Amino acid sequence: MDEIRVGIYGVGHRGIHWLRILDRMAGYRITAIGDMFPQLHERALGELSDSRGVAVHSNYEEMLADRNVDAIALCVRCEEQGAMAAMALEAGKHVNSEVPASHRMEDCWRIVAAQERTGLVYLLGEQVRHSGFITAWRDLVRSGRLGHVGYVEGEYMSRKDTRRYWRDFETAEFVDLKDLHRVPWAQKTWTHDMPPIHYLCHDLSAMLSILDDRVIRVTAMSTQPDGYAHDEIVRPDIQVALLHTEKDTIMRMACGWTIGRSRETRGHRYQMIASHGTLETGPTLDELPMMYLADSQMHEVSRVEWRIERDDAPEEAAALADIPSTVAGQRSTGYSEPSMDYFVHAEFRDAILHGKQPEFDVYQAMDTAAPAILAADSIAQGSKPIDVPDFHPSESRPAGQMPEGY
Amino acid sequence: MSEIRIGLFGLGHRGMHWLRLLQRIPGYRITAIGDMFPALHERGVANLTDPRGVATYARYEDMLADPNVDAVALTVRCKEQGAMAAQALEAGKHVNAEVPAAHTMEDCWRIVVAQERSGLVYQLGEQSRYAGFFQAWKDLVQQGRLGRIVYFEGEYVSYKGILRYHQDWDTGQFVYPYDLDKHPNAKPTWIHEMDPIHYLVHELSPVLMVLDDRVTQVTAMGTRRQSYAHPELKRADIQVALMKTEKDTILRMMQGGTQMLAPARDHHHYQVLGTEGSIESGRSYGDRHYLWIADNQMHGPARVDWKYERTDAPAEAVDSGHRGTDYYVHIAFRDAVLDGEPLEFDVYKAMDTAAPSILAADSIDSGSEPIDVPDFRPNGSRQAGQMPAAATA
Repeated sequence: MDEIRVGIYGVGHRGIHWLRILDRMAGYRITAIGDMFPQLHERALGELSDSRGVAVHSNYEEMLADRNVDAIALCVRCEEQGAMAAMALEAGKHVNSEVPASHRMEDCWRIVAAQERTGLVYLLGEQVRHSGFITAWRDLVRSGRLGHVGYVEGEYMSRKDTRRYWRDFETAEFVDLKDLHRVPWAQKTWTHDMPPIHYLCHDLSAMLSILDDRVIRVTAMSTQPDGYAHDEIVRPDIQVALLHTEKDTIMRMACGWTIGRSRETRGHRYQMIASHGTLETGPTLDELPMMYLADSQMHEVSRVEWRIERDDAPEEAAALADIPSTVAGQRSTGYSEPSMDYFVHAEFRDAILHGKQPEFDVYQAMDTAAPAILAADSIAQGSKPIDVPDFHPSESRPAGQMPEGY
Repeated sequence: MSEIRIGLFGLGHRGMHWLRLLQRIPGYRITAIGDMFPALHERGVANLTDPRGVATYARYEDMLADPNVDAVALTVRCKEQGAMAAQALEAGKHVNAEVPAAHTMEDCWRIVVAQERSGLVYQLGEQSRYAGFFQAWKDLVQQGRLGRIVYFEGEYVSYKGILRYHQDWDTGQFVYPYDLDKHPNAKPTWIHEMDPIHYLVHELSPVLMVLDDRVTQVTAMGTRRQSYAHPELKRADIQVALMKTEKDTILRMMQGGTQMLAPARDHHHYQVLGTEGSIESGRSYGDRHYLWIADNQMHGPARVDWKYERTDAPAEAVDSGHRGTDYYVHIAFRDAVLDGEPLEFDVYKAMDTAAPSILAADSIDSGSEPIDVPDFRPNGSRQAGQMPAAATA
């Protein structure tokens, strides 16, 4: 195989962004697009450099049955997205999936078992782990310069607009809260129903990649189910988890999108406190990250010009820089940058075409999903601590099998 | 009563500071000093402007029996410090106690009950709540300018070296771990044995004041109880608690004292997030705070020059310690004892700072099980002056 015939399912904002990238990257050929909302198909086709011969599927099962599709780029946001990834593996397709990997433990296991049985490539398309500053932090921590990392903080907290909580199923357009009275038939989206803490994927992926670690236990708390910020949005304003890792690091992870924070305040913030130093992102977008190494003749914290962008991005990544960051006037990339997304799609491509083992394998992917799902379960059980399973094969679960109880 | 005859027990670093301060504030007369280490008495006496007539005690019970002592300034740091405060109340003495209030739940209840029975003044001498920036934060929060407060974090993460973890029982002096062989009578101190999370008092006191709230549930996690930074210390490097308050705010509280941090990193860091605004203290000493209010035409966070120091501090407060905030502790206690002024920081609020910390350590012991935090105020199931059923069982 010298190119991956990819089918993109889910052509919302992130789907269009992926489509633009895959349309430009060597090794990919888009052979199918699809969305449960047929109204979105035309826009997607219009984005393709050559739409001839590209199949269009509203029905996901039909895309999975399409023999011209080797791999699925799964860009949906719904409670079933984990099950959909597993279905694709079970149908013999490689899978590159947008985050989060899954919203149910059963789906996590189903993805793992399907990947093990098929040997196909499953990649969670989480991009923050590929950013420049995370790459630098990973080098520092793994080389032991900070000593033992005792505490890690990660969060996705912001004051997002109120646009994505309802959708008009007739037009497939999102309906902003302020317009809801004009579209009373609009239905709540999964963003509305999803526990905020489910969306720890970026923070767990990045931090666990630095620590080379996994979470073994989680407990969490939430504000009331009805948001305080907006009477109409029945979603907690904030959920916070404590997580304990195998290597004895305590993590505090938080998620909330109706928080009174300025747009100039960083949405994703990270901090590491270690036995011999600290690392921290600046609180605001214009502040540089901070570093202190106790054994490096540093009298105080240094400000380091680390960025999301990497300084070692290949030319192929730089060529993606002109990809528009908006879809229909709305930002499509969020925290992401094309140069950072490049590494996701390059890793997936190289795994399929060249048999290169993905650095971010299916087990590590589930290590980002399961703690988040179980954090929500902990909240539902009054903050009970919950053990997080190890998804690797073991004596009690041979590769390819579901564990007992599923 | 025109002056408080005060006995100060505990002549360590904080005790010496209190000793000097109490001699400067009108309304106090030191009539006794004491410490379980007699070797420390001499420096206590040497710091008195007039040592005549000042009794000296090695035994706490002897000080409590002294009729010339109206109030005890309790500046010890030991597991029993809560019980010692209760003992003083039970002996008919007012109490101004250094932090934390207690290290066992039973002692929390004992203090509450003794205070209720005696009607004496019990104050926890926590000073951060008097800091200038907390007064400003409190105004903003309680006026509703930040909307509903959904999250508040506080921490005391510092690096103070390794001196205070062992003490020579002959001299009362602290001993470095690498000098232990030269001090056969050196023993681990309470700081060594105490779970770091017990010391959340400077976080919970001001945070709960700003919120006008109390903690109802706590869960916590910690690293192993042997430092990675200094393996010779049998102490967790860091412990972290999540707490839920009665008003539905989530608190993240954290304590650690052995990891090697930048010298100028502020030991304390606080952040409050509301639905309509947020405030965060600077990371390093001297850094300005971040303030953002959604409905105030602010395009980005403002950097506000709030400090621990208060802009309305009287001259005598300025160099009273902890950037001028120690003064307010002793004024509040004095005015309560001499003039019957009600304490803003009463015994119930004091225990609201101690109990969640104690229970956070219990949660760590139980594998992070969530634990409910009792309300110490009298209610239908506990009459004032009575121990609760669970505490006496």
